[in-house]
Amino acid sequence: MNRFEKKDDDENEFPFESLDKGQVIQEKRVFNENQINARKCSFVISEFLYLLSRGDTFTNTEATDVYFAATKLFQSKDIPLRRLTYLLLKEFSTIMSQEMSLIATSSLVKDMSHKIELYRANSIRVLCKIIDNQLLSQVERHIKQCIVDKDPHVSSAALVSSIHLLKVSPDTVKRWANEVQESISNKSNMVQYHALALLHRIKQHDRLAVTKLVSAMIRSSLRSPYAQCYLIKCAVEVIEETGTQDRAFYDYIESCLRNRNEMVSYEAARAICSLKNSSLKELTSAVGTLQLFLSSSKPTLRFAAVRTLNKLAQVNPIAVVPCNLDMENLITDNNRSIATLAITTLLKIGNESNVERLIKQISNFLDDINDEFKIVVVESITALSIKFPKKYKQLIIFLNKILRDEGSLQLKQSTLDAILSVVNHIPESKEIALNELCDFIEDCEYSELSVQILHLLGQEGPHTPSPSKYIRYIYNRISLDSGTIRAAAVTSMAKFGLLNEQMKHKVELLIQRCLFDEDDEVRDRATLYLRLFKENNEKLLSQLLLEDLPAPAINIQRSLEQYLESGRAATEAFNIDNVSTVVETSPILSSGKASATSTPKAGAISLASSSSAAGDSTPKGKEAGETYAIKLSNIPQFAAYGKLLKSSEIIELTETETEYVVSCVKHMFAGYIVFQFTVKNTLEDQLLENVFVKMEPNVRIKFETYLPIDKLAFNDPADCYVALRIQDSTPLINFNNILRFRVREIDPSTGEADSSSYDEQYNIEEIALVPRDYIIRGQPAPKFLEEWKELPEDIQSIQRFSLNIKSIDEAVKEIVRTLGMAPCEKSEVVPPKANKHILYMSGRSVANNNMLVLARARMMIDQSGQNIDVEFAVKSEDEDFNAFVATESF
Amino acid sequence: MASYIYLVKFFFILDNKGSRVVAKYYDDSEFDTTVKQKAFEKRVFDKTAKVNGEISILDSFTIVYRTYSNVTIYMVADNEQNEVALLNVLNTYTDTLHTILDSNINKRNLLEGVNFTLLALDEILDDGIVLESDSTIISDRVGIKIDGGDDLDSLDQSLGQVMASAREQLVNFLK
Repeated sequence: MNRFEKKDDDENEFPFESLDKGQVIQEKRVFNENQINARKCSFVISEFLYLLSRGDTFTNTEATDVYFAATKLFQSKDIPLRRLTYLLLKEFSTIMSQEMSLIATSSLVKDMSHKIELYRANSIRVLCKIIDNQLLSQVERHIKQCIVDKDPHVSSAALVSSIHLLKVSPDTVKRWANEVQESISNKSNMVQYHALALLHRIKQHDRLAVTKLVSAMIRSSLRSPYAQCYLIKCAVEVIEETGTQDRAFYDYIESCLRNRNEMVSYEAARAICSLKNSSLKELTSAVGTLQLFLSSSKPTLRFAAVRTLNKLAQVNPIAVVPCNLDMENLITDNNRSIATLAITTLLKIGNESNVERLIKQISNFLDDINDEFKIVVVESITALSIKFPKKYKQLIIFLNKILRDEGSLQLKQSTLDAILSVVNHIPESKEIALNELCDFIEDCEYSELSVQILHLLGQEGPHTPSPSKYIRYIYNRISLDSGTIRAAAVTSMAKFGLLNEQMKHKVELLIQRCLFDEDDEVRDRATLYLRLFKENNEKLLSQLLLEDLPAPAINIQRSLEQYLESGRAATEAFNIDNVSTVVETSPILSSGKASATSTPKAGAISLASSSSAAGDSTPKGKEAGETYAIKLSNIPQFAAYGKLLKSSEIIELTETETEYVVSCVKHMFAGYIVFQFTVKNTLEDQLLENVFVKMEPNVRIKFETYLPIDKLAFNDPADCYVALRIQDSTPLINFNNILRFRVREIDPSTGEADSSSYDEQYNIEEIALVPRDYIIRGQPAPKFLEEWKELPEDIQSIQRFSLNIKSIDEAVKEIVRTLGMAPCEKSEVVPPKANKHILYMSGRSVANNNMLVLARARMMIDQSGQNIDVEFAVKSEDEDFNAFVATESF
Repeated sequence: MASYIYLVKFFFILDNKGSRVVAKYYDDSEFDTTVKQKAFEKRVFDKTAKVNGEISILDSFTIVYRTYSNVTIYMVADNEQNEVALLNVLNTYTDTLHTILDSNINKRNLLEGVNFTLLALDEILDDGIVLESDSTIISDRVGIKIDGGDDLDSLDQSLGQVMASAREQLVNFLK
């Protein structure tokens, strides 16, 4: 117990806690007294510094006042006061106009040659924060003087300040290379570090110079651990950028593994792990070093080691195997970040023989960990199921245990998704998974999950050897559960009736009992299905029960909402054909209110399974807001174009840090293309007028409309449009684009725009129309193979080509990405180690009235193992379109 | 690589209820207002308060921290940085405070000597770059011994520290 403990009771107020900014600003008058009272002034400065670090904000004027007043304190000879004054000036200079802060320049320059080191070191630090390009050349010689100062404090301060100055005036700083080189031989460790870093940064655009510098430094004997870490990074950079085979760089890194300082040996270990061409010997030593850290008493070392090994396990799991045992001990580490990393690493490096044991070990401590952590475990387990399909039984049982235990909806949803993904990948697991899930819905507390499981049972159950046992579970729900679940159960049963002829009669009897259900939805569904069964209307039944919705659920929801709001409901029926089929994948800038969308019931399963199967986890931008379709239909010029058929992803036409940031989206209508350019003006002192993109096509075409942006203010993005008429054709055109606009300068002090203006233009990236633009992804064709047979064989188009890709999996992703079509029959899932594969895709064409287009790609790794041979076939009702897709896509 | 020299992104001290005592953001591209900063600090506190750890991850940041009687001191870097190096900076800072505050790191002492609290930080980090790593040198620079008779409430160096710094100087001299 220390003697201050008693005072720290909650009742007691802490010093400064109720400090008021206005009051402190008043107190700054002590700076102005004729006889400077150092003690009082120091106290007031401390108050100001505290206010800043507490988070109080000062206006430009307030900050300038404080700064001005503080410059008076240069008259005092009190050293501690001067030290605080430097800090005050440094902090306040960042919140006021740079021009005003220059008034301290002469005092600071004077201090830079003062006899007291502390003055020299700190005055240069402040000066470099406020100085501009022009003044810098005038004080250059003083800075150079400080860089070679014998005193480490001064030299370090000058070097670090110069590193910051590289942002202001790189050309000036580059002229000091000789002085920096000289300071590298300073006795101080820190000066070495700062000199090395500055020298490296001065030369960073000259690869040869960097290589020479690093080679020289490797041979010198650096003492500073920070400098050694920096040099390791530099060596890695040289190896990666030049691809050098010179072992000197590798040898240096390896030698650092044995450094006594943990910071350095760790840096070396993680460098070796990250390098592609590390030798086995180096990798073994690096892993050995990290292995020692794993059992360190310091949490940070354990953390650093396990994080690095985790990364290594992704690319080279075998190298990490020696750490297996140490890693297992970390599963129960007090620090949850460490434990999580240990588990995910272990699951990555696990092999067929120890997976079972590992799962058992994890089960043992499952009760002690929170839901967030459990989700991480569930996700790793899912990945494992793909690696070791034979272990599905243990995995399903393990996942099911998590599902049954107490837990949040989020955890259970992730777990259910994981089970669905296992079922999707490993058909053998279906039966055991369904049985477990049947048990689970007997007492499932979340109706969302019950509904999804009932959907799955209806989808998969009828195809199992003994479908009738599932009916019992489903029917139990009807007698015991809430309306939503009963309705889902009715639908699920109906599927059994449709898909399994023998069960049809039994199902009809069961559904009949639901006709008097108290819930409307249950009664309606039961009545509808029963009637269709009686009529033997299998076509409509399968459309209702098996096919996905004709458009994404979210779009239907929005359209329905609009329909109800518009008041058209009384006069006209809702037409689902008008719903956009565009899957929104990117958040749209808009002020529309965010409406939380509930999980669409039927869609959830196919959504979850398809996204996990595709293997890409790009979150679909569900940030609600007006969709492209609504936005465009509100523009009179485009309203007549009809329904929006497809929107491309966002294409960046500039770097994101340029003066004007432009991106483009291509919108396809029947007969028209609309290019939407989103333009952002990042220059505070400019107002842009009449902003539009001048598109220059490489063929002669006629543009329909240009819609410019009238006024584009700073940081307020807006859209301009170009429309193009294509009728029924599918032109492939390249466009050179120029952003054109009028500039009005804005006076920064008044914020008013200048009366005169001038024309300006700005080159932006090209845009191309590609076959993918003419294909709508849509929902995957439910029965691809049948539909493929039905389409005419004689007009199909076949292309053979070779892709420079090594793995089938990558090739599948590349083909799907290039065509923008929807993979069918789960053919986007490539079995591990496959050397050939067939990918099926479906889509619809923008022209030709949404004609169905199917594509098949047969792939095989060629003899060299470096390329993949592809036979690509396209089928539709239109011979020309087949040829177009097959020949122009790749 | 280019930004590797800028090691520390944020520094803050929170009390045992998670409220900010002092903070310094060297890079405010992620959290450009006090409100955003404090919201982040709250999340960091929630993640680290109950756990007696030393290191954690949140979003894309690595966080090292050390808890004292009623305050926790945090250093935050982006997750590509060397965790051990980041911990070294924290160690330098806490070692310095130990010396200056006579081993009594708590909210009251940090605030009463807020000039030392902030000066020590300023001596260790310059815009996120490590300026000095030796806590003895830093303690000397912060607790400036003054000549003359001004009655400033400065730190009285204990005999031990005087010895330590004398030894340091001797060692440096012998190098």
